[in-house]
Amino acid sequence: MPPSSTIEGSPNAASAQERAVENGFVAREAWAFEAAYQAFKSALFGAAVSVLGDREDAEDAVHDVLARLWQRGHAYTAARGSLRAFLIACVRNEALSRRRKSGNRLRIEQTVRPQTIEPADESLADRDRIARALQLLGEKQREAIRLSYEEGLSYAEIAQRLNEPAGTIKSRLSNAVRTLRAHFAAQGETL
Amino acid sequence: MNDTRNAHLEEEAELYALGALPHVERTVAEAHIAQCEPCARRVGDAEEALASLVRPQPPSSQLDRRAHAIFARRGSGVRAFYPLVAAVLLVALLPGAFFWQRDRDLRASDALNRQAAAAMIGSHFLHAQFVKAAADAPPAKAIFAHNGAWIYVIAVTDRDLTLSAGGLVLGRLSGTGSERAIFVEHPPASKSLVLSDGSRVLARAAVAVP
Repeated sequence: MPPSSTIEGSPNAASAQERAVENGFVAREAWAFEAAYQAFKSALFGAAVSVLGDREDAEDAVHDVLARLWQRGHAYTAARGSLRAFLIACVRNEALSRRRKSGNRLRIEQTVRPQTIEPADESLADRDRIARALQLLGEKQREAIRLSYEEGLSYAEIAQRLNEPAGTIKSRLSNAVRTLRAHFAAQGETL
Repeated sequence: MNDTRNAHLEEEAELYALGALPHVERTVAEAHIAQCEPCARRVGDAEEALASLVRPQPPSSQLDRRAHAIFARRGSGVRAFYPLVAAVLLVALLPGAFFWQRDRDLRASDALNRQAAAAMIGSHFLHAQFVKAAADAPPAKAIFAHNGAWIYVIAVTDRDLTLSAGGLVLGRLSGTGSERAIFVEHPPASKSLVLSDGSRVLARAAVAVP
């Protein structure tokens, strides 16, 4: 059943609502999938369009992920953390898979449509927030994260590209992600 | 991580969240995460950090309609990923369960990868990196059973390579895209592995079974 409307307006309404949606999602309730989509659709679409650079392709990627999760089951559990982060990871993987198949390795700056080039104020704020976080990384960490996050390369492919040992790249990527995690956690960001 | 049942993920957790693990390692990590709460939490933490790098953008109303239509249909009922699913069950469900990997460019070698993943999940295994014997040798890695029952070799290359051990050719690596792999059951006693391109030795690895 959907969460009771009585939790709305309470001090913990947002988190209580989120927990209810997460529990419903685990139980594969239709209302929870619908609620999760409504709550996270902009983030999911943003994740897809940043990889694919095309709005129609990005919407197809989001649609296909939702359809598969709904029809075939999913790996999400409460231990995994936020449902939002899990869904974004699924959409990113789908988008990267599509880009690999199409051979489209163009950077997002080269492929976004005109209407997305001029970001809204909120988007500019996001850009600043992300840039500040990435500045915490060393130059080599930023490059490794860029190759993985933006180009979708595996650690072995990055090692080959940079002509460095695979173990070094694994550690570099892992440390970079943990640095970002510590930063965002300290910022208390609720996205 | 060399034992999917007991050892926790280390750096693989962040690499899994990034989507930076090669196919087989990702599959093994997935099986471990499904049965290990601490590792699921670590992956979740990494996914949270990476989710913070996303800049939200509103989709069109058409996606709203398409999404609503999905949820109006009843799911097919495959609840493969409830907590504490046994690894062996995951292996049995691999073709449908790891859907986000299904269409990767390694699809042509999926059968090989499933065979390797099944072997890994069912046994203790160790790793060995190949050492370059030629400047153009690709990065390569051997994963092998603790009891010597099998060897899996994966290389990041689009070239045709051959795996040998003690002068005996074990076979050619197969695959598509940027990865090639070979799975060998009951390998010969010699544990000195050689990767060659037909005319030259490119890399060697010593497989040390305790």
